Order: sequence, then structure tokens, then C-alpha cells
Amino acid sequence: MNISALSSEELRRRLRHSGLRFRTGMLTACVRSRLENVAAGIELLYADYPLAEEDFADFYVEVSPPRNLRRWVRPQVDFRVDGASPFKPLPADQAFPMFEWGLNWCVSSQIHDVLIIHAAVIERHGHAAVMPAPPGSGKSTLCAALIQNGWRLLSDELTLVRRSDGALLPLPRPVSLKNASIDIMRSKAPHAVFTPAVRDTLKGTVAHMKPPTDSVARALEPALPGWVIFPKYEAGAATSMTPLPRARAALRLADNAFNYSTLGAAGFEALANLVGASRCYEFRYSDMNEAIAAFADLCPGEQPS
Amino acid sequence: MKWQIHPAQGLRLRCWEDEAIVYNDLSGDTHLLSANAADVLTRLQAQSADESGLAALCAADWQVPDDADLRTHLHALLMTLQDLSLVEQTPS
Repeated sequence: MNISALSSEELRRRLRHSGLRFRTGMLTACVRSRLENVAAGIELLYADYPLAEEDFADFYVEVSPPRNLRRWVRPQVDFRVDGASPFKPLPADQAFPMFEWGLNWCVSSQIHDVLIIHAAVIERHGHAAVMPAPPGSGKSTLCAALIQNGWRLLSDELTLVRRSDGALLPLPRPVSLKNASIDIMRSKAPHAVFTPAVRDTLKGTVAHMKPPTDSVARALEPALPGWVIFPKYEAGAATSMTPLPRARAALRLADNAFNYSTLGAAGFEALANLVGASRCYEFRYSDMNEAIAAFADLCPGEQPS
Repeated sequence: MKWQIHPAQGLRLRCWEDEAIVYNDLSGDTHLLSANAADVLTRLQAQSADESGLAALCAADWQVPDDADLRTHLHALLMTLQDLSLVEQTPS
């Protein structure tokens, strides 16, 4: 049964009291919040996610006002996981983005049976394209556009590489968009579902896009490695997909991996196996339609020259 | 003097095309190496060696003459690997 099966009242009752338990891929979250903007965001973007009826959850999170004057005066919101607050409070209108960022933090800091890379990852015909990039590179915008054009979303933020066999594990969640990319995606995907924009966050203006229903439905379907592509949006740049030596790609991936050092030799092996099984590229673009076409031309299985 | 991998050190190497990455489990560091440097490291993982012996082996494998140029290049590689704490010198 999915979250959409709950009435609005039941969704909010669970959030306020026992916790709303639902699955994202292999992980289960139990979320509590009395805040309407959190409930509205979950109701809008998580409708397709399966409810979890078991008592166990990987993360017990709460998004709620702090227990001090800032509950009322210039209201703030706090993110707690297992009762502790890992972050400073944010303005109350940022509650839903904080929920999303907080869940990302939970995964990246607490899950270690996978190698976790700060990268978007999408899939087509069973093979995954991993796109590591620092903030501001256009990664999420590119990811959002590609999943509206034939690619399945595994994650817009966290690539999970299973250590035992190198499979890429899905963790499809709402796609985070910032600033100009919000209007770009609203025009490129007019049928997609977006949260209202939230202004003046640390990342600028942010909004979240509902992931495609198919991506959520296939959240337990892993993918094989296919490509590691480092994207970079540059205004006016010609579209180019340039082969990148695997050893250099591996080092850059390591720089983008949250738990590479924590995993030690196991992290090295997982990362090296991923690179060894992938074709690696630098990707420059300024035109989204050309970018979509360039990704459509990718073919798994051929070795770079 | 001989060159060797530190006895307590475990190294993991992966080579692609003409470059390689190596993981040092003592330091937790990962380094980018040329194919030649990776080759030298692999030889020292198998057995310690002096520079003359290494030069002869590398000359045969790389199909180059064992001359001053090779020995200069090899010495520079060993210095780099030493700076990265991947190899050390030991009395023969």
C-alpha cells in the first residue's frame, strides 16, 4: 500500500503521533512532524512510496519546532534523528527542504554496507550513468531533464554501490532544484509535480520535483555500472563528451565519496570495480536538448579507445 | 641499499591504460601513478631489489636499453614513490 492510499487526515495523524513509516528503495524511514509544510510536501511528492508496516526503520526522524523561544519568535525548525539534532535550526518555512537534506545526511553518514558517492545516478537498459559533481555544476538539473527523457532515476544525490557485487542500488527521492533550474524544469516538464519554491535558503531558492512513478515502483531494481560522467554546465559551451582516463576518474570519484575513507580497502575495491566496469567521460554542455541527445547516444559495453 | 615495500604495509593496485591507482592501507591514502611507477611498485611487492636489479628487469619489460636515461628515470620514480610513503630503502 502506498502513501497515496492514506487520507490527508490519516497521513497527518501518523506524522503527528506514531510516525509515518515508508520505504525509499532498500531503506525505511519513520518520520514525525506536526508541521503542515512537511506534511504537504510528503503528501505531494511521496504519494507513490510504499508504506512500511513493520516496526523497524533505518532512521527515526523528526522535523519540528525547537524547544525554546524560537518555537514562536522568528520561528525555526529542527531536524532530529534518533533524538539528536545534527544541524543548527533553520527558518520554519524551510522545513520541507530541511527534511530532504536531513534524510540525505542520514544515508550518507550512517549507511556503510555500500560505498556512497555524492553523485546523481540514472539508468537505461539496465546500465547506470553515475554523475558526480560539486554543487553548482548543473548535475541535478541535468538529472531532472534526463529522467523526463527515457532514463530511470536511481538518485539525484546519492549513488549507492553495493560492496558485494558492485550493483548500483536505487534510492529514488524527490529531485532537488535550485534557483534558475526551477523555472527551467517547470517549462521543460510542465506535467511534472513541484513543491512551491522556498527562498533564502543556504542553497538559494529551492524546490523539489516529484520523481517519476516508474522510478519509485522500480526502487528495488539495481543496475549494472555503465558510465561515470562528470557533468559541467558552462554557458555558451559546445556539447562535448570527452573520454576520461579511468585512473583519474577513480580519484575524482574518491573525492566525491562520503565514506571512502571509512570503508578503507573495501571502499577502494568497490570504487575501482565501478570504474573498471564503466566508460568514463567529462561532459560539458550549455544546451539541454543537446545534452539529452548526447546521453541518448551512450552505448554500454563498448570500450573507449 | 635495497628498495622495498614497508613490511606492515598492504598495497592495492589497479591499472588501466597507462595509469594506475594505488591504495595504501597504512595511511588510507590513494595515489595516481604512471604505468611505469605501478610496474616498479608491483615488482617491489614481490621482492625487494636494488636499483641496478630493478633497472635490468624494467629494461627487459619496457623494451628499452638499460642505460643512464633509464636509471635516471627509475631513480626519479623511486624517489616519488618514497615521498608518497609507498616504498623505503633498507640496507642490503
